[in-house]
Amino acid sequence: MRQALFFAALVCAPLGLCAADRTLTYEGHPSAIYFSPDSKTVVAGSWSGGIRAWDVDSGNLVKDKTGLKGTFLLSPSLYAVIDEDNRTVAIWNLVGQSRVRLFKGVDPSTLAVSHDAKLLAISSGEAQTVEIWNLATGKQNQLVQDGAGGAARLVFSPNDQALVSANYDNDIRMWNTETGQLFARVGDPTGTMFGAEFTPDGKQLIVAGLDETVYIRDAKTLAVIRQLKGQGEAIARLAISPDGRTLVTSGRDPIDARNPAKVVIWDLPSGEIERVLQAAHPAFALAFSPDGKWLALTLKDNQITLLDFGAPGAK
Amino acid sequence: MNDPAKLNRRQVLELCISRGLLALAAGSVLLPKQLFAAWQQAEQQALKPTPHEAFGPLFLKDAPNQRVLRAPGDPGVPLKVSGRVLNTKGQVVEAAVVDFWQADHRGLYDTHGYRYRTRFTPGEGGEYGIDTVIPGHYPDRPAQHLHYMVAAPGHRTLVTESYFATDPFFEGNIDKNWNKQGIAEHKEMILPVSLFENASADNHSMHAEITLDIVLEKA
Repeated sequence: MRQALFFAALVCAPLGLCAADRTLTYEGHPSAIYFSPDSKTVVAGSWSGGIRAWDVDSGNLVKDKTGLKGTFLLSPSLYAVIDEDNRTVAIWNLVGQSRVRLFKGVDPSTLAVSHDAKLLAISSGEAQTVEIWNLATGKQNQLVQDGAGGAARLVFSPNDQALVSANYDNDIRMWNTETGQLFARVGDPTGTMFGAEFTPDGKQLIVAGLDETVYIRDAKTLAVIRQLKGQGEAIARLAISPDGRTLVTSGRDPIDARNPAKVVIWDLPSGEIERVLQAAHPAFALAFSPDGKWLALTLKDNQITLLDFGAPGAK
Repeated sequence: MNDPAKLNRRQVLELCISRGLLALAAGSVLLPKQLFAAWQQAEQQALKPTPHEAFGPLFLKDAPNQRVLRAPGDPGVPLKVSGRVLNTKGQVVEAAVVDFWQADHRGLYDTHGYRYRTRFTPGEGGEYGIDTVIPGHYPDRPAQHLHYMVAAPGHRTLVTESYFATDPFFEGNIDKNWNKQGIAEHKEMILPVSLFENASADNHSMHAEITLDIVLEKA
């Protein structure tokens, strides 16, 4: 019963969740979760588990694409199918079930699509580059030189004018998506930054990763403004609420899987920890609904939890 | 270099023998001219660039320059990793910088410090040598492996990994299992392991050795 929606009385108590939280069943571990712009649909995808979408209010499954291999969910409406053997990346539209583009000769370490869905960034670890493509025309806008490791995380700024790569070589680089000009590069991170997100106002870039610390950086210079410590384990992903007041980080000891994984919810203005949730695995997928009511994440095997953050706009 | 037009067949064969290309010449029906072209081509690309393997998420930059990673009393099978850093013509690459990192004998990486991590410039003749231990297995990446990142001016930065032919992961059959679970991307990166006995009167310990010549391409 994949579409079953459980009001999570059974899981609430041990996980410390409140009664309004919900769970959706998903076989496997989603690597990406997105909400639709109207916050009414939530979509999850993983490499081998396919893509599923649910109506948030009813919990009904509205899309179930299984049997795919190499899927990488890029947005609520676009996903990539990566064929490593043939070095191709096909971009598909989830809603219309149509193939948008096919890219050949690519072996991505990660991908990202711009907020306006016009640009696709492909990081290649082997080529040590990031390609920025125009999805509408199929033309390559820019080819920029990245570090030796490939990007652990690619993220577009809210206005899509900048693209950030947090590379496995630990460095962070930021380019102008139109001209390919390098806006900034910092070599001060001490470990790969697996999580990188802009604040909704676009003024700050928050990164976190292997060195267990959250770094709040100026979005123009990438200089560190503030650090938050307290996760005590490597951070896999992060998410920022639409009002910019809440930060969520998920992590685990990257070395010893016997240690529990945690999700930490921070009050961003004060930098204080509000809640800590135990998780079976680090949540590699985290997403706030655009109305701010829900945080979707994985806390247990084979399910997605929707944490209730209260009435839309309120917190 | 001699003008190919002035070389007779015997001279070309002699050259090939001296360059280790006899295997190519023997049994082939190549004309002397073709043979010479093959030799010339081989001269220009004498060595195949070391292939790229995955970078992995656990690199830490700015590791200390240290050649002895195995501290006294560290458990695990002692391992010597050695080789040279060369270009595709077999020449020493100047000013190369090698980052090397690996798990300890349990398969665990140090992410809070620099145990089993080093960054160094090879010595004279491009030679390097590292004293370490054979890394252990860990669940996410079940084949034992060592990480290398090698950068040098004018050359493409190489990111690679080497694996151990002795690793039970390969079930004693490299030809069949080299790409098992898609972990090793190139069979040639599964390196033979030599075992040596450190024999003394009351101590018969063992150590292992692997050799990896790292060949960089021009940028």
